[in-house]
Amino acid sequence: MREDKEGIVQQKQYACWLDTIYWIASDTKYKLLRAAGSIQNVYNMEERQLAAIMGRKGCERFCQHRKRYTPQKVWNYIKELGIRYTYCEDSDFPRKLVCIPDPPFGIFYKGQLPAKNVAAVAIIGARKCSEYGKHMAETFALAFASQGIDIISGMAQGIDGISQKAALEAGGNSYAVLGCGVDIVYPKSNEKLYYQLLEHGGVLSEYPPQMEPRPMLFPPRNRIISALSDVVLVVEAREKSGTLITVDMALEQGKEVYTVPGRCTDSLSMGCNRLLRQGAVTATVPEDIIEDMRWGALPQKIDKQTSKVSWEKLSTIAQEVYAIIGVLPVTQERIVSLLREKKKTFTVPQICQGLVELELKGFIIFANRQYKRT
Amino acid sequence: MYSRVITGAVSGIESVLAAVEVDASKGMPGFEMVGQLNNEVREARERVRVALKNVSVEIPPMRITVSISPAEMRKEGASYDLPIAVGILVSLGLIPEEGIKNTLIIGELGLDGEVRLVRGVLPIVQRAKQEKIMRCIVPIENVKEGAVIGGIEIIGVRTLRNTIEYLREAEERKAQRIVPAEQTLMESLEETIADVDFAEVNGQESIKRAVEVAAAGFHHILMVGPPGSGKTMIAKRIPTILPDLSMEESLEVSTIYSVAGQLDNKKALITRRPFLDPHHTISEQALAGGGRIPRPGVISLAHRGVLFMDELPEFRRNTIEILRQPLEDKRIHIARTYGSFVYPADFMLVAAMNPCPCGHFPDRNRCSCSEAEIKKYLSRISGPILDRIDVVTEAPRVEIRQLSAEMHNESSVDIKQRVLEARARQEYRYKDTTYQFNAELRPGDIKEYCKLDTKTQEMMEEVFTMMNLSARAYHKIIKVARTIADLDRKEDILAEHLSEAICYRMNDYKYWN
Repeated sequence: MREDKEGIVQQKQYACWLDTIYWIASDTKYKLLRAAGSIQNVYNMEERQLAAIMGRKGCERFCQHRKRYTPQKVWNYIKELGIRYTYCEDSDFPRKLVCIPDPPFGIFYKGQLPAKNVAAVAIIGARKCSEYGKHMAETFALAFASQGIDIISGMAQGIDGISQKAALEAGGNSYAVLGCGVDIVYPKSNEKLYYQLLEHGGVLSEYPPQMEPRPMLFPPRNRIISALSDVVLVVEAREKSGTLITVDMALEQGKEVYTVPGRCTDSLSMGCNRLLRQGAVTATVPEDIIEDMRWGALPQKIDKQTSKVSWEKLSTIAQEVYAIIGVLPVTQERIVSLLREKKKTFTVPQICQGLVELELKGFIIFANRQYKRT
Repeated sequence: MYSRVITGAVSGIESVLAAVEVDASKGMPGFEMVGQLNNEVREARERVRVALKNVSVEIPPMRITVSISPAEMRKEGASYDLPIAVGILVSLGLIPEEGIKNTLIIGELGLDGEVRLVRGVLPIVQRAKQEKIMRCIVPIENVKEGAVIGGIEIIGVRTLRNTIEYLREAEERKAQRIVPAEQTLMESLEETIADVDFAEVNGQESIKRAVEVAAAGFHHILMVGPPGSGKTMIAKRIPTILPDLSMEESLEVSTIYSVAGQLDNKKALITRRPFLDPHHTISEQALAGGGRIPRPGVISLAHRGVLFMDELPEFRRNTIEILRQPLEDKRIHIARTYGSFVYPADFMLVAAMNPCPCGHFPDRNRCSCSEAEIKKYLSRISGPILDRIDVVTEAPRVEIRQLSAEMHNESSVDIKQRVLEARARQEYRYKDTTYQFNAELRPGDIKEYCKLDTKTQEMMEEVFTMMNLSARAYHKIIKVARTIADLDRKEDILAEHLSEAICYRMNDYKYWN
């Protein structure tokens, strides 16, 4: 490592130049670095030496790229896009990324890199999740974030995005690892989340800017998600799910895998339950993980109902109705028929009154035309 | 010799009296017809000539001119056949002129001289009565439809020969030859016993209640639920809890059906509330009314009844958008080259839909639709249409226990009783206004007719801020609460009424965002 600051910046420019050549795999980049001795030498490498490592075709493409772009030009371009870069020899390169099989050569990022001494949990799961999955992801992310634990995920639809949103809402930090260039918002529906992440956390990718999302890019980025975190938590996964790739990588990297169990009959819990059978650790409440990892017990169990009107002040109907509604959402009709089964003779208007009372007092919420507990 | 026969025509839903003038004089033999005639009317020449020959009347080689007035109106249809034939016979002196005095004649002719049914007899007879016509000669198949009006003599004829014989008869012996049709009004009104009943619906209590509220205040309603949850079954029973058609309403509805050619002797008068459930592939013209001179579309046939649109998002977007004007003005305006036509379309919209393309959301064990797919599906229904729907309710999957259980369910008659009372209260409240039902209330008048006490007002304010309602959602909730209070026989809206109305709200823009 060079002592003078200018030298470091220059080194970074060369590394960035190398890393924007998207078709060179990260292990080849490491090979090039080792063979050349320094990153500057990689840029100036002779064709013969290049061909020995990348083959003739690779060498030709490399030389073409070298002719067309200078490190300075690439660096300025990246700066213009507001993107930052770090690579394996840099002092701010996350240590967690170095000690995994097939480490990334460098990382492009917007916002911040994950802080070094902060615990991090990856919350991952199905894109098309159920209300149950949504609820669990929110509960865990909220608890972790309020403990100052970072949430790492992939900013995808479903569990990924939901847990990151919940973490930000709780005032915590969250980091997304993308399967495309960091200047591309994918999926579009999480655009709001993307900009929030830039403020409170960051967006990372090993792929150069402007890289369009492609199916084959996503499995490799999963190894970065698990590498950046201390614990991987799977919330919902079908039997054949991309989430399970992340789990494999996490296990390879020696990370602890926790799983939220689900009903055996729910197809969205099949993957989770299989993981449990294979030896993943059960996590039913956030405290399970916090205690295991010795992150310090939560000061107090957050009692959501302290801020609300006390239970006793509710009307009889509201109490009866509340007893029927669980965490899983139910329709009004279902509430009516469940009350009938319990031989309660409330009329539909009375039940409506109970529902509205509960909703106004914050005990339940109405979403997707169904009611569930807050 | 010249003759003039009175006949009738419909233009849109309006009926007018027309005159068929025939002149037979010496000159170059020929048969001319004038008066802005459509192809079907022009073809009457051949039908009339052959039909006359087949009743052994040979048209002599004379110059025959037929003019149908009013000339500025475009004529269409085959209903002029019989008056033309009669006109010719009168001008040839084969029927005495007194025979057709003060008599309206209408009917299509077959080549063998048979008189066939035509559409629009009901409104035409109605008009004839207003114009003090004494007698109407109509095809035998339209005779009951004509007789509905009463106070005018309706003669049903089977054939052209029949007609000639009747017209030739001396006035005092006419009644012996063909007896004027009896007024059939009462007998048609009696057969209103419905074949479906709410007692057959097990479970689904909240939907039944929502439907009751909607029916009482004439609110449009949307039911959301997975396939097989009984949405269609419930919709079909809505007419059974609506008040019976009054005499005027019945005539009004029958007129539309008559113009559309859907009345005959079996169904001379529409006495039940119409229930129309168009398939979702329906074209815009079929829904709104189509043709060069448009015939009433499905929305007009559903006038004073229920228009049930199952699988609402599956309808073509343009088709749904057509509903905007009728939902607002209760009539539809169709402009064509030959003029613009207004048809009444005051119906209760009952819509049903699935929550997502596969139908099972949010049950993730069955539904694998992505959020984008669901959004796209829901976005097929535009905001302006949703804005006009006051009551939204969801139909969950019915459990097998409920299906097989022997339950005591309220029958339609019981529910109808409450609906009638609520409607009577509305009638009394709005007696000095143009309003009929709570659903029609405009924002400006809501304050006057929907009084909230202090406690309820406070609650509404809390709801407004907490649930983040729009002004429109706010008004809808109050209108529905007004109806619920009416059902509860209360003049003031209480907290419980408001609570229930909130449960039917549409503002759940998680669905539509």
